[in-house]
Amino acid sequence: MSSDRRASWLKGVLDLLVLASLTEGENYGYEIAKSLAGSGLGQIKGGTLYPVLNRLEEGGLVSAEFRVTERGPGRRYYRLTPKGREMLAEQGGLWVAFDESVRSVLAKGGIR
Amino acid sequence: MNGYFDELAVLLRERGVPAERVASTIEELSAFAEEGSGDPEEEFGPVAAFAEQLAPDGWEPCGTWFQYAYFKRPGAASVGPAAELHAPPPAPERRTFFSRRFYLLVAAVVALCVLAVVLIGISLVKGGVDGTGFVIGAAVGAAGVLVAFWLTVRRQTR
Repeated sequence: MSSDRRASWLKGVLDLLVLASLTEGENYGYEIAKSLAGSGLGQIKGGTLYPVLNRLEEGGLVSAEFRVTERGPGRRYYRLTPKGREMLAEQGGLWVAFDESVRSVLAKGGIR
Repeated sequence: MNGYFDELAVLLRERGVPAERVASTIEELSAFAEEGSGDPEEEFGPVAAFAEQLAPDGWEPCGTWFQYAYFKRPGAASVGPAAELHAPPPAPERRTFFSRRFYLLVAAVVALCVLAVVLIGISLVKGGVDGTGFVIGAAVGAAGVLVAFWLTVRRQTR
């Protein structure tokens, strides 16, 4: 039950988390998942991450470039576009406002 | 491990994803699985469901407008010259095809107009009024309608 709930929270905000993680610079799928896991969000499976990356790319919020390296496998590097940055600022702000409302209601219920 | 990605490649191609994109996707996902648990099924879930998520319904992106993304079927673009018809049906002789109900409507409107003119004419004659102004006005009105109709027809036939 609690893992289901966590999964639905993540579903609603994963695109914003991915966009936010790309503000520091371009990155590829595995490293994005690792950096989100490092922030305490738990392990994000490829089956969850890649459809989100695909949608962001299709929507023009990130651009992707596949690069083949001499050593190791080719990687698709994702980079935030100006449109993605705009969307992150707008939707991220809405999420923070939502979070504040949730907190204030929970605080009334004695949860801090 | 290869079995999973082979199947994924086939499914993505079937859904209209370009071959180059399929190859780079497979390479990227294999690397992801290797760095992770090593089991693609564990990492990405059942292959058919994952292919569906990566390439929903075979639609491919064709543009964006603000936050809306537009998709198209790839078939129409990829069929190309092969889509040409070998025995196209002959062009119809007539340009317009009106229904019987339309001709009935036209007949009813014409009958009403004739009736109106006759009734007005009778009342003018009986009342002994000089109908010149009315006749000129009616003629100008009718000419206006005819000119508008002629212009419309001329524009459409160009």
